[in-house]
Amino acid sequence: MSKIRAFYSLLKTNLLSITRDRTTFFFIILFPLCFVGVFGLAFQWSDPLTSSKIIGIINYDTGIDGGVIAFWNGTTTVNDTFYSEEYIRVLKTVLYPESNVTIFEIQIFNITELDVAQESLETRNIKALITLPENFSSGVLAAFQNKFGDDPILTAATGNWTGYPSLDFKTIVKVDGDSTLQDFTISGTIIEKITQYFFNFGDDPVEGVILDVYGSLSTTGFTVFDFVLPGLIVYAILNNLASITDIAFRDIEGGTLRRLRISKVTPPMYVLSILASQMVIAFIQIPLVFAAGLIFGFPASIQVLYAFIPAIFLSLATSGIGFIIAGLVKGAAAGRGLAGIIATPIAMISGAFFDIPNPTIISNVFGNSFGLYDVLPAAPAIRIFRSVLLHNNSLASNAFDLILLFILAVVFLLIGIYLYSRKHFKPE
Amino acid sequence: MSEGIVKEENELNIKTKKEIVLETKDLEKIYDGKVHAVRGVSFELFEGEVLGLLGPNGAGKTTTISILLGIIKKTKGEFSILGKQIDDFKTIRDLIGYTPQDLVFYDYLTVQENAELFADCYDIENKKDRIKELFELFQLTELKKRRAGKLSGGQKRRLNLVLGMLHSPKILFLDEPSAGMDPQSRNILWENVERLSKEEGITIILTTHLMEVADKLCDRILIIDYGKIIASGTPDELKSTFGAEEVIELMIAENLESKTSESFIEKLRKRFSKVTFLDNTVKIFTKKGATLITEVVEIAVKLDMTDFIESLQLRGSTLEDVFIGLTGKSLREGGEGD
Repeated sequence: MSKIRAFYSLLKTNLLSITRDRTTFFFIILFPLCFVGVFGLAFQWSDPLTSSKIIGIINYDTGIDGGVIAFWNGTTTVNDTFYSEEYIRVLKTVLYPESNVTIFEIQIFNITELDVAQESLETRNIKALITLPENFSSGVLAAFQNKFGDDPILTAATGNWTGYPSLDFKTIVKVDGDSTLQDFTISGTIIEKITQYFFNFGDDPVEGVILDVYGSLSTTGFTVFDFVLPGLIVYAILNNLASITDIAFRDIEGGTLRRLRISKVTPPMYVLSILASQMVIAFIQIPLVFAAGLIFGFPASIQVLYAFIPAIFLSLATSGIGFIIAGLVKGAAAGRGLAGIIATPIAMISGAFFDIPNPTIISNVFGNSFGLYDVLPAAPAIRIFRSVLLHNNSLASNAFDLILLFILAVVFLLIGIYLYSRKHFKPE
Repeated sequence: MSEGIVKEENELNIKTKKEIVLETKDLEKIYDGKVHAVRGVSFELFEGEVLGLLGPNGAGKTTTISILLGIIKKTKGEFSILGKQIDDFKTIRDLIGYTPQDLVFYDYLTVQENAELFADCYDIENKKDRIKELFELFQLTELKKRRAGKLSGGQKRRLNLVLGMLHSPKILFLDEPSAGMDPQSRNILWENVERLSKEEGITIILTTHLMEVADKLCDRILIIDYGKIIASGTPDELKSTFGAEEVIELMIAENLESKTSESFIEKLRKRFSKVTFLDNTVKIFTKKGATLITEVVEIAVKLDMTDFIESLQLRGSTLEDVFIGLTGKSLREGGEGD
């Protein structure tokens, strides 16, 4: 009971240090909201698409017998027909609205180059990889039959020909990519729309064609702001570094740590009170940033509740970094300065605001690529937040990143607490 | 340090059957293998006693206190509290209280919030009553809702003191508790420290620059310099043992040629056994001041420097005189602590 009371008092003291200090309150609560406002105003109503996205295609399409085509369209050609070529041509030529810039730059991979294509995807040299199946052309034909099968003109032209694929014929077009990347999010959405258009001949979705996109892309598409908002939640939590180092240095410099050390407060209790205060702050930041995002059109979703779990881990990892700074840096001014400027670069190179180009992949773990930037806890956190908030995925589908984030949180915390305790809790 | 004095004190305390609450033996602290901050400090502290640690800045007072609090690791030596050797400071958290010379509390918390926080850190059951009692004693009741950072210097000092006493410690370490205090706050402080010591039986170790306070408040005084105890005893014992009950004090004008003043001091030192010269003030320690003052004047006349003597007085010796006599330094020089 006594320990709980002391812990609660320390926690309350830490939280009051934020609410009663205008500068800290601004940095922790208002600063991230300002960022939401700036990004919201800048990107929510503007067209973010300005440059061609490089996407890869592996085409396994074996085409269909030319005679079939000849039969129903009245021509006499007998050459095999590859509708995939027409599909690729459409993708190549589609332009940004009121622009002569093509949306996609297509890189074709040979069917023997699957490894090369996947590596290009991992290193982000291509933003998406479309795999066209062997029965792609048959799928087009099936879609045609499903849509126009009862059309009297077509019936008259084809007579009783029975060469069409069956009505329950399925063809699967696969679109791979990292759904947490802005370029893939945007590219995938456009690919989805073009594919539906292609198979539907300009109308409603057609039966028989399955577009298998990694992750589930929104049918309405995303703006840059939608992409950035989960990154801003991460940035807000990272920004708490300033608060952690502030508390740590405040107690060192002000002598309160000495006073606490000779009381019954134990080092674990003291550290836990700081960690708990950071979690409370993170729990306040998530709904605030999310609510601010809603104002600027971020899609509302109950999925925001899932964000609290990775927020706990990220908050712990951030606290760990804060303790590392407080354990290594000599002066409080230097410590506070470092904490103040470190959050933004970490957020940037973790991809909070923009995609990271060509990350160096260190290894592949259980089919998940582990990049150089992934040693920063913000990187997996951003992926989880985007996956959960943008694509309505469950936490289970982000298990790898969640476990990675947890491990990073534990590692950073252990290092931080060790360095901090060694320097400030042991007798001099 | 005079071994005779220590022996007499111990005998006195044994006679009155006072319990030894703290005992140190040959405490040493060497920083980085070079800087010898504390050198073989040994003393005993008896229950209910107010022990003054006096010394110039950098003498090792705060380092000694910090070792006893477990904030600084000793290099050598040992100490016990209530007869137990202290290896694990967790076992004595309840027993010791500390008021550091710096103002150590949270500025953004109110006076009441600060008190409650530190009361919880000591797991005080009846914290509201204890806080109320100490606030009344140190006249902080009216200020309890005020942010600590907005208090005056004296009020802050009082709060600083209260926070170290919340858990009714057996031994209270007061490190320059009245530094920067206004006279009113200082009076409240000393009255209550004295009262608590007597009523609650709190044993106090005090460092202060205020000699008159040490003289009035301390049962016993240790004078520390260069990390060593150089004298110890009751204030009266120290004053008399130093070999003087009277002091002839001369203030010399600043514009006196240094050659003349040096010659004057040299002649005085040849004639008198204990002479100090600090801040243009000459002090001659003697038991026959009334007789010898004329000799001092004669020496000044011979050197033709009477016009440069701003004041001359004969007075009883004080602790400050003893201190200057022992260390050659003024206690107030160079700021507050060490």
